[in-house]
Amino acid sequence: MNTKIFWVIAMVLCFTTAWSQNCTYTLKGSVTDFHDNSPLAEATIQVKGTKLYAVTNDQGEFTIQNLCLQVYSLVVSHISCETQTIEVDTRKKEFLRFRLEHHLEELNEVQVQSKVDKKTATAQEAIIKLAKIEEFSSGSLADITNTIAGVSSLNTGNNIVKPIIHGLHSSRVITMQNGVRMQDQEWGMEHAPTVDVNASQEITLVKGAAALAYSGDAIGGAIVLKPSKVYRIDSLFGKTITSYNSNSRGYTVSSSFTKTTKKGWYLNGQGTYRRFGDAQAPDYNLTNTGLNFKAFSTQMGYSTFEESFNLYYSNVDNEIGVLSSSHIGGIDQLIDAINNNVPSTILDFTYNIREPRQRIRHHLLKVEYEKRFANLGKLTLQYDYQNNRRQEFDRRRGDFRGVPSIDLLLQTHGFQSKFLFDNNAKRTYNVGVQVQLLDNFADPATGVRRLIPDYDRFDLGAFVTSEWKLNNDYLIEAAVRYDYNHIDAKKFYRIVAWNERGYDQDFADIIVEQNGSQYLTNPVFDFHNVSASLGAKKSFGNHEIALNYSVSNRAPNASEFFSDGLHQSVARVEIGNLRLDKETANQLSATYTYQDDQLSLLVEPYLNRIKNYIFIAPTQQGITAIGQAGFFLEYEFLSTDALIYGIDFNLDYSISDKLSFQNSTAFIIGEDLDNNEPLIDMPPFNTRNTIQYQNKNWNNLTIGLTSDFFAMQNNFPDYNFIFTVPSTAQQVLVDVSTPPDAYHLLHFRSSIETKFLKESTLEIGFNVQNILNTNYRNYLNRLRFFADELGRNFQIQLKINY
Amino acid sequence: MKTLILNLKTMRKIRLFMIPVLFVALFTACSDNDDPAPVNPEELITNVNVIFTNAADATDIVTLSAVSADGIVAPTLVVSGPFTSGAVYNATVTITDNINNENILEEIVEEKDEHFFVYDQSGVAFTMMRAATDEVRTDGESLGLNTTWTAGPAASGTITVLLIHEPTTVSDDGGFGSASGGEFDINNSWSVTIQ
Repeated sequence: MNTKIFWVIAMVLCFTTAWSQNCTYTLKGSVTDFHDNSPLAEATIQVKGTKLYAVTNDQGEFTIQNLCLQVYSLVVSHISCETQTIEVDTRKKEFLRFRLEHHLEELNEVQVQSKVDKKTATAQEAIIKLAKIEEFSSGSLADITNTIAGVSSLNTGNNIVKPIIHGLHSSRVITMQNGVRMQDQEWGMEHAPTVDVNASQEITLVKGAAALAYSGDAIGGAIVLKPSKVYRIDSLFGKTITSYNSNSRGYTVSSSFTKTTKKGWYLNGQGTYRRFGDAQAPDYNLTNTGLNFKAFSTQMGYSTFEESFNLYYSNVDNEIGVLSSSHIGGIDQLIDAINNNVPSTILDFTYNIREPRQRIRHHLLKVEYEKRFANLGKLTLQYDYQNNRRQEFDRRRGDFRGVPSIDLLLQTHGFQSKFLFDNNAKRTYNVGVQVQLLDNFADPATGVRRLIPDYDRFDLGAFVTSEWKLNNDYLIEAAVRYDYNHIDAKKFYRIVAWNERGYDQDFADIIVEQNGSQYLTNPVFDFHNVSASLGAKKSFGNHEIALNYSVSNRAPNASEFFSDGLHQSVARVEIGNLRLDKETANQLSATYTYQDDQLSLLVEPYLNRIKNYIFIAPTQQGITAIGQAGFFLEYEFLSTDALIYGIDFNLDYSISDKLSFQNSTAFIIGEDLDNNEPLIDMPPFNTRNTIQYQNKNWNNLTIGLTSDFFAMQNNFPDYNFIFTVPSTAQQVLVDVSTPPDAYHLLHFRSSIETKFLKESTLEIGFNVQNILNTNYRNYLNRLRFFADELGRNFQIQLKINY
Repeated sequence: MKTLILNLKTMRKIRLFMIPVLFVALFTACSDNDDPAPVNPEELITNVNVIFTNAADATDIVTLSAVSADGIVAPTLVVSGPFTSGAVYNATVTITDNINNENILEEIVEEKDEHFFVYDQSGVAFTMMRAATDEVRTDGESLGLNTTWTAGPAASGTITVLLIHEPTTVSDDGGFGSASGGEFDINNSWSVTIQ
């Protein structure tokens, strides 16, 4: 998508030399490695539209003579780097200093300066580099994004973890996998993204809806995952990471290989196997919290500056155990769980995964073609197919033993066509059309009424985004997007429930037929949404300020409209709402950046006003009976006008060339304006401090200590209710609202690198999470009523590049 | 001449942009409109009866019944009459799915190692034990299907019957029994009177 991938270009006005006649100018400059500033020899600098070119010498320096007084495009290329074009005005008499990302020699530590690979120019963004991704090789996507200020996670136990950006999650946060918008039933709160982080080279996280080139409804943000990059060189290389976690006795093996040719052909394969047993809280086993994760991806293609072709396939097969104790039979057991403070089921450690469990399989196939047109720009055409199957298994009886209670197959065809007009570097436009067709099938063989019905969905989006560089200091960004969503469902309603919700009054016209005690209905929804984003950025010296305003819309998803039934793994009944309307978010964000040799500072305040904000919360009466099994919590989808605001803060300070200090802090407030109370499930205040020692002379020894503090969330709505226990007639206050206490965790990291064999490097890491074995519970874990979070974990990680 | 070249270029671009439109037409044409089949759950429990028969007087029968018409709505709880103080009752349980005409109890007895009955009382004073005729699980604990109750002094209160599916630990101590973990298949409390 972005050809500026490998490049970090710093144009520094440093030294000038020129001869004062037309077309006799001499341009001098240098090309150096971004990491260690070492000169890069044999880099080619070509002057576009002329026959002039230069090759750097051993000192990385080049000289181009006989230039005129005008603006030139320089095409800079180096072996293993993608070609890049940059504009130079010879009248400014600059000495050019290019600092390149030189990958093959630095595979183990890719640092991409955020400036270059940003998905937006003025919105709040964070880029996660390969080193960080590798650090979390045995974790999930949300474990990685959690390290960014303002990003937290919504957990269902320890294995189902999904990112929350500025308090927003699920359908409001989209995941882009190699240019494909993931359709993996991300709407569900207990549905984690179906991705293998080890397949990514780089992860960009956009906070807020400004990245309109991806979608118009990601009002929380976008997570953009990029697979391994390829380089035009004859080469074969690979990487293997293995790790072992003492807690959960989990091991992970992830390997990849890449074959590239000088002509631009490439083939890449990558696989990950992860097996975790039951995890452990400080005081007990967390029974049935194992994981069996298998992932494989491959891509092949052809890539040159002018033309590229990419065929990509990935497959994830993930089986996840859900904490046994959370599979309860109603409110009595919930009250017991809240009062007892210890899970009801604690068994010996095992790798076996029993019911309740989830199995998710996701296939993604993508074909992409890119063509560059001289003096115009780049065309991208893409087709993708996704096949997502989700099965949830509960404990069942008789013939239904081993039959899933939920069995959904979501198939998606996607198509997009984009054109990037970048012939004028000062004013670029990106125009595109995207189409997705979704077909959800809920298998009736489960013998359980469908929690989510069969539906078809058609999404069409068209966008124009643009960037204007007014001068070196000013930049303006604007985008506008139109989206059409069409949802066509076939859903059965129990007539009793249909009438209870008053649908007989408002939706009588969608009934297709009566089938015993059920209606078959055909809800159809159409949404036309216009989204827009406008931003500006100004740099002055070491400072930079960016402002961004965006308005975006999101149509309610299948679970918000149609959910209907008991969710056994959280022991609650969830009820959708046909009366919901689309969410409209008006967001304002500001980014202040300061950067010098020692200090890097980032302050990001934001304000998000959401009309028709959809959330799930306990109903008025709080409970409902399920046949003979007693009473269960009852939650329904509601909407309100919401105001969410907060501030993210990041500081990176080099105390010396070996010692550094980092702080990352986030504070967020969510208000329900209609009911004048706080919003449910808002992340608490969090501050993280890290002190790190790194010595490049001692095999790049790195030692770090992190302190992670989470305050108690004091802003929460009160959904508590009084329950009269039938067996004793006693009245009990059921506290489903009060968040857990504040907690503080300490983590340790260390790693060391060594040469290994001839052309390989070996990196050994030793880490400890939750050093003090602290007992704590997390407000944003849906199973927080049932068990503590994980205790201490020792982790050993080996990484070999070859 | 120059205009012509531009036009040709533009044409080519337009053709490329047409591809997505074709794809859309293709997929829209493929969408199906079949009605889904209804799901009629087969693991329902519609009727639960706990039948107490006076060991000394076969005509003195007290039935605690719970009927959920569709197996989903809250059951209607009915007690057929008062218990007689001091009398000894043999109790047994019936569990059926009247929609699919299935005797659920048979399944439970077949899978007795994964099930367990727990009884509770409040306000009344029965003493009870699990009968010799009761089903015994592999772990030696009696399932709680057949029980013997002795009614205490005249009082009003509740009797609670729990059927627990896949409990972690069970104990039939004291007759009423106790369990941890698992989830409830049956969890009903009846208001009873001893006179």
